[in-house]
Order: sequence, then C-alpha cells, then structure tokens
Amino acid sequence: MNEIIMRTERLNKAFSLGETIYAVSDVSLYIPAGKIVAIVGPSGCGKSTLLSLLGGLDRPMSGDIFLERQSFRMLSEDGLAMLRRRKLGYVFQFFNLIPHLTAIENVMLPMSFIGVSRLNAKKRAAELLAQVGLTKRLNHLPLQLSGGEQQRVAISRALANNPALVLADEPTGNLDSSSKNDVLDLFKMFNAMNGQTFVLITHDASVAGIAQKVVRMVDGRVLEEK
Amino acid sequence: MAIAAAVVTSGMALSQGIARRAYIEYRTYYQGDILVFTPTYVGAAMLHQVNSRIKQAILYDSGFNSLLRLYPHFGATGYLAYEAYPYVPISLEQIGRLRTFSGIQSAEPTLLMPGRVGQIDITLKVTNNDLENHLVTGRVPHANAHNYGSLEIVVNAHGGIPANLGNIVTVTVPAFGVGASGIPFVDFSSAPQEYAAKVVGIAEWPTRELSYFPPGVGGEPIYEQGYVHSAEIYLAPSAWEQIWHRQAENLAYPVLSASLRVDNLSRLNVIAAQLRSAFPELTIKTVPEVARHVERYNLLDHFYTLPSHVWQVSSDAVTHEHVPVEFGLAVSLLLFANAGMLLAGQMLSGVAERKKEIGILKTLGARRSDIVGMVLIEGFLLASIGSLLGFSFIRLLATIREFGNQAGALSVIYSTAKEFLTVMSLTTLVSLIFSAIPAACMANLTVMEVLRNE
Repeated sequence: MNEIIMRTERLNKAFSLGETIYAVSDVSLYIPAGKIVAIVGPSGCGKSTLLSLLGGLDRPMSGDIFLERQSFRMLSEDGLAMLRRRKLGYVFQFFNLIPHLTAIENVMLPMSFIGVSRLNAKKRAAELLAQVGLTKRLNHLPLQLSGGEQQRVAISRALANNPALVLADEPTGNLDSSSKNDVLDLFKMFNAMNGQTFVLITHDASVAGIAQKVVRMVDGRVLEEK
Repeated sequence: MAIAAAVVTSGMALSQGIARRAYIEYRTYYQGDILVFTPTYVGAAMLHQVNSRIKQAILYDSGFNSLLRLYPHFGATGYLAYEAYPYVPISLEQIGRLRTFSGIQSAEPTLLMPGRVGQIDITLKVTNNDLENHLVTGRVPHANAHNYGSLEIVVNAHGGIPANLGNIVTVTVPAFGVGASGIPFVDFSSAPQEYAAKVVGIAEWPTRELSYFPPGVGGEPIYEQGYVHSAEIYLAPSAWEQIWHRQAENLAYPVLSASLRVDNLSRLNVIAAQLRSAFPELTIKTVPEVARHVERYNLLDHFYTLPSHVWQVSSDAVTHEHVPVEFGLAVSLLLFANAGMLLAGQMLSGVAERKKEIGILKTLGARRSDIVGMVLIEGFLLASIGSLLGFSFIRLLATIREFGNQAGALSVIYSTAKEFLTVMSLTTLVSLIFSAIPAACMANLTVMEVLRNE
C-alpha cells in the first residue's frame, strides 16, 4: 500500500479582503492510498480551503492536483463534477443532509447521478445505513435524527458510490464525545474493510490520533508531515 | 399560480364551447356556410357610433331599434351600432364569380329591407328552404304550415310582433330612392306603404346565454337567453320582390351580403382562404368563425373584420383609429405572462432558500446541466399542477354548457382533447421561459459560495 492516490504541486489560493491573504501557500503534499490522513492546524490556517481544493470544489490560483494521475487543471467544471460523483466522497461538520429527504433517500442521492437503478440504490443505501447502525432510522428525516445519527447518514452518503477518497471537514466538530468516538470508529472500520482513503480536517488531537499520516498546517503552509 | 392558470384556461376552454347544435342554428340562420359582405357596407359612416374599444363592430339589422326598446341596456354598453344602410351593393358580376368559384355549391344574395309593424322596426328578409325545414322539423312548436303566399310571412317570435299563427299583421315599408352616386337609400320623405300579411310560421333563433349589467350603477349581472335578431319577418322570395318593386320601382336589389354553400364542409376553411385571396375587396367569414365570435363576446351580432387595404380606405374617409387587437387574445396573453411572472417569482424566491441544497448537490457531483434540468422540471410540474386544476374546473363548466347545447359526446371529447393539448403546450412554453432565469441563477451558484455562508 505505498501507492499515492492524490498529490498536490505547489498549490496557492488567496482571497482578496482589502489585502490579499494566502489561505493556501505553496502546498505540495501526497495522500497515500488506503490510509487515514489528518490535516491539522489552528483555526484559520487554511485547512478547509485546502480540502475544498482537494475535493475539486474550488480552483487554485496556481499549482495542480492529481487524483490517480488525473490532473484537476485539465478538467472542465463538468469534468470535475463527474470526478466528484465517481471518485470522491464528502463529510461536513454540519452534515449537510437534504432536509426534506429521508435518511435512505439522502444516501441514495449520489447513486442517482451515476445511473444506479432506484431499486439497487435503495438496496445499497439500506446496507450502508445498516453498517453504520441506522437500520431502524431509514425513513426518518434529518431533523428527526440526533447529530451523531445525522453524521452517520452523511458518512453513508459519502460512501454510496464507493469512492476512492473520502474528504471530511471537521467531521466530529459538532458532536458530543460519544458520537465522536462512534464516527471515528466508522472511519477506521471502512478504511480497514474497504481500503478507502480518508482525509480528515481537524484541530482535535484525538481525531488526528486515528490517522496513519498527519499533515500540520500553519498560515496556509504545510509545516510538517508525519 | 393555480388561480392564475385557472383564469387563463377558462377563457380558452369556454371560447371553444360551440356545440354542434348551436352551429347548425347559426348555419340555418345565416343560410349558408360562408358569409360575404361588402366593405362599404361594413365600414365608413357608422363607425363613429361604435364603442371606442371596438371600432369594427356594426349591427346591420334594422330591427336593432326595436331591440333597444326591449333591451335598452344593450345600447348603453356601446357594443351595438346602427346606421341606415349605405346600400353599396355587391355587384351582380361578383355574385356570378362567387357562384362559379371552385368548391362553391351556391351563392345567394341576402335580401334585406327595413320596415315596421306598428311601432316596431323590423327587417324584411327572404326565406330559404332551410328555414322552412327548420320550422317543420326544428324547434318551433307552432309551425305547421309552410305555404308562403304572396304576403304570408314567418315572424320572429321575440320581436314583440303580434305573432300568432293566422294573425294578419300590417307591415309598413318606406320608399327607396337613388342617391347622388346611384346608390339606393331609404327615402323617409315619401309616404310609406302598408301591406297586410298573414303569419304562417313563427321562428325562434336563440344565441347562447347573454350576460349584462342592469342599467345604473352596481348590481349583479343578469343572465338570459339572447336572440340574434329580435324583429324579423321572413318572406317568400316572390313576396319580397313584390314589395321591393312597389317601393323602389325599377331599382335593382341592393345586395349587401351573400350566403355561400360549399360542396364539401370538410374543406370549409380551405375554400374560405381561397375566397379571401380571390376577393380581397370583400369581407369573408365562415359560419363557425361568426358563431365563435358571437359566443365568445356574448354579442347579439358578430364583428366584420375588414381586409387591411379596405380598412385603410375606410379610415381615410372617417379618420378613425383602428384597434386591430383581439381583446380576448390580448387578455389571455397578458394572463399567461402574469402566470409566468408568478412562476418566475416563486422559483427565484426559492433560490436563496435552496442555496444549501444546490451546494450539496454540486458537491455530490451534479453538473450545471443537472441543476438547470431539475429547476426546469420543477417549474413545469408547478405550472402543470396549476394548469390542470384550472383546466379541469373550467372544462367541467364548458362540458356542462356543451351538453346543455346538445353537443355530441364525440365532439365534447374532441374539443376537450384539443384544448388539453393546447393548454399543456402553452404551460410547457411558459414554464420553460419563466423558469430559465431561476434555473440559471441556481446553476451558477458555486459550492464555495454556499459553504462559506454556512
């Protein structure tokens, strides 16, 4: 498992807020396949901006990102969308579930984009929700679920299309300690079971504790990689 | 949205609600399939009396005056206009050409003459066989004789004429003179002649239901069955000719309109189009067109639309403004635009609320085209629900009305299907046009724009 699933080449991203502020500055790193990688650092150090660049949700000012040798720079907006739907999964701090869809419908949603039949999508979504312990909550709306349960639905949704890489932005930032441990256990479980790569953005040392590689950022720069 | 669509569809559904039986009545009444009028007859001098909104309207029947006595509010609406006949006839040469036109079975001039029975203004008309058959087999209960003698008549039952079978009525007819340009006119300076005539038939010619507001301010509209011409006396051709020659001496009949029969009704519109092309100087209307117009506007009589170049001549002569827009169509378009704006407003107001949803969908891999498609489909569904609700409600009313007019089930099914297709086509068009901007707004949202606002 020494393969590299993703690497970046001198990424730069700046925002103009009266003065130009570099959120990501000259970042070059690699994400090994099949590992859990944590990107840690204090608030405002550019972690989330880096994650949005890695996920193809935003474009860098300069530099490039390669996912399994596919250059992001070479892709159009639609090309990036196709890449996101097939190879990337996302987990957010605030879950970002569609409020008027049930748990199972939320998990089925990404599969509708790659042409999975409704029947198969439902079957797979039920399996995933069973794996995260939500068998009895399939038809509940997000508002009827606790924070920990919502995040477990979000993890199931991120894994729906069996992506090579799952990006999680402060996945436990909005959870109590019990739910946090449940979520971290799930990351470890899916990593071990499916060999999927997880990139976790966090400022929580205990979250970083489950990672096999830790990237520390300060002021938009990568300070060290362990 | 649903209310707006209901209003829009109502106009369309009801405008098509001309039943088969009603069509037969009109055809019988007008004594043909296609009506031909002279432009002079339609235009010119009487325009100044027409309501400012409708400058092409004219009621050609001299019975109009008695109608106004019965229904004075009709005059107040301004929908009716009356003027003595200008008497510029369709020429015999034109009648001859019409008779030999391809697809035309017969072309008969409509012969009219003003007169009076007591104090009631009437029109003396010429009957044809259709009227005779209609009296025997149709809806007139009293008619059992159709042996028109020289002055035996069929009267309209609703003209206020003492119309009992066998009654002798006195018909007063003015003299006719010749104007400076050789055009016949009613000579009121000469003493009229009186003719005794025996009532041998009574005809009723109801149009559809009329609605109007009572005189004065306020009040609910009144609904009642209306009659196209309320003061008419139908004469056998020989009787009509006899009176004409006594009142007008050797003047030729002023043919102001003609009724044409086509040999194949399925080609009616085609033949009418060919006639319009061949006779640009005449106003040519099919009976269904006339009937539709009468039904749509609840008018006692229909409009005659002049060919543009003829109108130019008329407007030069009387310097009147021309209003070419069909009011109902304009209102329908306006309502559709309003419905569309409502839809666009609804969708646009959803953009802000749905930013997060769009951001999530894009994160999950939705392309711009996926978002656009989704919004357009939502717009279509929203508009369709409104249209279907409106259409169902109004179509139900129209169907009741059609069956009330003894329309056949097949014709009701046909018109329902046709209207449904029209409504859904327009709904699709409106929803696409007015959902396009909201769709573009939503598709242009970037994921980061949404996530940063979290």
